[in-house]
Amino acid sequence: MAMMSAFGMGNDEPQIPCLICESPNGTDAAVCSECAAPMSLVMDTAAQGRQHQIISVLGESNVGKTVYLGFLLDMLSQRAKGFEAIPKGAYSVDLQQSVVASMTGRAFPPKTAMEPDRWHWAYYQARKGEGRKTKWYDLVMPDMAGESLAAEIASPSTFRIIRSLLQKSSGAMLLVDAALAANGASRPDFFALKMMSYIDALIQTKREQRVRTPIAVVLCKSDHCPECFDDSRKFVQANLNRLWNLCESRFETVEYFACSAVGSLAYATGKDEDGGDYVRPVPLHTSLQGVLEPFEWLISKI
Amino acid sequence: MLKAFWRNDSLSPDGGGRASTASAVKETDPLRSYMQLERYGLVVTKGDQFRGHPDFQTLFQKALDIIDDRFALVPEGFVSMPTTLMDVPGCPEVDLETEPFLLSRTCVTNAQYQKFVDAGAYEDLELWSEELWPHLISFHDQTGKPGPRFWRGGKHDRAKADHPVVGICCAEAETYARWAGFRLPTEAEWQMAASWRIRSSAHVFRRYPWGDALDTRRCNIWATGLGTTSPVTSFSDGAAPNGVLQLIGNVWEWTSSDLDLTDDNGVPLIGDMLMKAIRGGAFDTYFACQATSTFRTGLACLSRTHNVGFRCVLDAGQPGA
Repeated sequence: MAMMSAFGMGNDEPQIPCLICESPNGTDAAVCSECAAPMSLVMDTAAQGRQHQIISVLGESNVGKTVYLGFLLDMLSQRAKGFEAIPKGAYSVDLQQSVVASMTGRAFPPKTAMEPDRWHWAYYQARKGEGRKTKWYDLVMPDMAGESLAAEIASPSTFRIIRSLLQKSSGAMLLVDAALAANGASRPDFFALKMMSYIDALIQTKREQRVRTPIAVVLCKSDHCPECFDDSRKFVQANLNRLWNLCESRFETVEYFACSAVGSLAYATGKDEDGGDYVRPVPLHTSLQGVLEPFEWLISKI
Repeated sequence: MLKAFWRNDSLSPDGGGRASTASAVKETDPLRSYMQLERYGLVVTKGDQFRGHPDFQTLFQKALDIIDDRFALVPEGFVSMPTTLMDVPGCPEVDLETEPFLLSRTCVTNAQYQKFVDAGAYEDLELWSEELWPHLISFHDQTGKPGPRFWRGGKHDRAKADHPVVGICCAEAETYARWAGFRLPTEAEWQMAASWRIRSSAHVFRRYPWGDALDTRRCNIWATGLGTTSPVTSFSDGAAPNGVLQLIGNVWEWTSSDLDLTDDNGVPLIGDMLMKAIRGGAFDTYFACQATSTFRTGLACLSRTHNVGFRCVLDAGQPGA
C-alpha cells in the first residue's frame, strides 16, 4: 500500500475508467496503463458526461486511413454538406492539421506509428443540420496503424486496445484499396476478409444471427478505377468477392462507397541516403470525392 | 479583334454559353456544314477554299462575328512558371514569353461537343493521330457509345447542356479543337490569360484573374459549396479583364503542354503515362492554393475524369482573327 501511494495509486487517489478498456487510471496519467489510450481523451469524454460513440477506421497499411480520416474531419469542421462538428480538445485537430499540411505540400502524411500512444485521436461532437431537435453525436475516432491492425488480426490480443475499440465501436469504416483490387491483386480482398472475420468473431453473435454493427466499406483510391463510382456494389462483387460473400452472410448493415482524395499522382525517384533507389508517390493535387458519404450513412445507422 | 478585347458583357444569345440541343438537319454544303457544326475556326482559317461559294462573304463574316463574340484577345506577355513541386517565393522558375492570341471566353460545353460526336468524329480515323487509334475504342460513354465518359447513349444530360464537357481525355480535347479549326492553349498561354502579366513598367501580376485575393463568390471550387459543375457563363464576377470566364474553378483545363515538373532535387517527376499540364482547379478542388493562376499540376493524358474540360485558342495572326 505504501508503495502504491508512492506511485500515486492509493485508494484515496481519484481514479477514472478508460473509455476503451475500462481500466482505472489516475488523473495524472498521460495514457491508460492498460491499453495506452490517451487520458486527455478519456477525461474529455468523461467531462462531457454524454454517451460517446466510437467509429473505427480500419484497413491495411497504406490504404489511406490517415488521409481519409484527416480530410473527413477537416470537411466536417468546415461544415460541409450541412454538418456541424466541434473538436473537443486540441489533440482532436492534430490529425486533420497534419493531413492538410502534408497534402498542401504535395506529400502524403507520415505513416502512423504502431504504438497506440502515438496514434492520433479525434473527439468530435457532430450533427447534421440545425435546430433544437437535431441529434448531436459524440464521436471518438482513432487513427490506427495498419500494421497494428494486421498484427492484432494475426495474433488476437497483441494490441488489446484494438480489440477493446472494436468491441465498443458503434460503427466502422473498412477502407479497401480499390486500385489494387481493380488490378487483380488479391491482397486487399484477403485483408478485408480477415478484418471482417475478426469483427464477426469478436462480436460473438450466434451463427443464425448476423452482426448488427454498421460497416461502411470504403473503396479508396477510386480515382484509379472510376467504375467504383459508377456502381460500388458491382465493383465489390466483381473484384472483392470474398469480402462481398462474408458481408452478405454475416453482416446485417453494410454499404459500399467509392472514395478518392488525390486528383493526380506522379512519382519522384532517386537515391536514398543508403544509395538505394526510391520511388515516392507525389499527390500533385487534391480532389475529394466520396469522403463524407460513408460517414453520413454510418451515423444514420448508429 | 478590338471587339474581342476588353469585352466583359454577357455572351451573345447564340454564344458558347447557350447550347442548343435541337438536332439539326444534316447539311451537305461543306461551308454551311462547317457553320452548322460550329467549326468557325475552320471557316476563318481555311476560308480561301470556299471563295467560290455564293454565300462565302456572308458566312465568312458571320463566322468572324461569332469568333469575335466568343473569343477574347490575350495580349502578349510573359509568365514565370515554377519548375519544382514547391511553389514558394524564391523557388526555381522558368520565364516564358507569350504571343498575342485569342482565347475562348468559356470552356467547350456539352452541347458544343455534342455536334462533334453527332458528326461522327469518333468514327473518322482521319481526325485522330494514328497512335490514338488503338485507344479510340476506350473513348466511350456509360452505355458504350462513342463520346465523353459520363454521357449516356451518345448524348449529354440535357440539364447540363451549358456545362463544360468533362470525361474527355487530352487527345479528345485536342482533336475537337483541331476539328473546329482551333487548338488548345499551351500551359504558358493559359497562365498568361489567368495572371494577366502584360508587358508594362508596372509588372502587374494577378494571382487570380480578378485580382490577388481569393473570393469564393467569383469561382466554383470546393469552398464555394456547389459540389458540381456549373454553366460555363456563371461566375461572371470572376472574369479576367478581357472577359474570359472561369479560368479559376469549375473544371481543370487541358493544355497542350507536357507536364514538366521536378522534385525538390531537380529530378523530373514521372507518371504512369505521359502527363499533360492541366490548370485552374475545379469545383472539387479542396485547397484554394491549388486553384490559382500559377499552380501547376498535370494528369495522365488519357484520363477521362469528371472534373477536367478544355477551352480553345485561335492564333491572333490567323486570317480574319
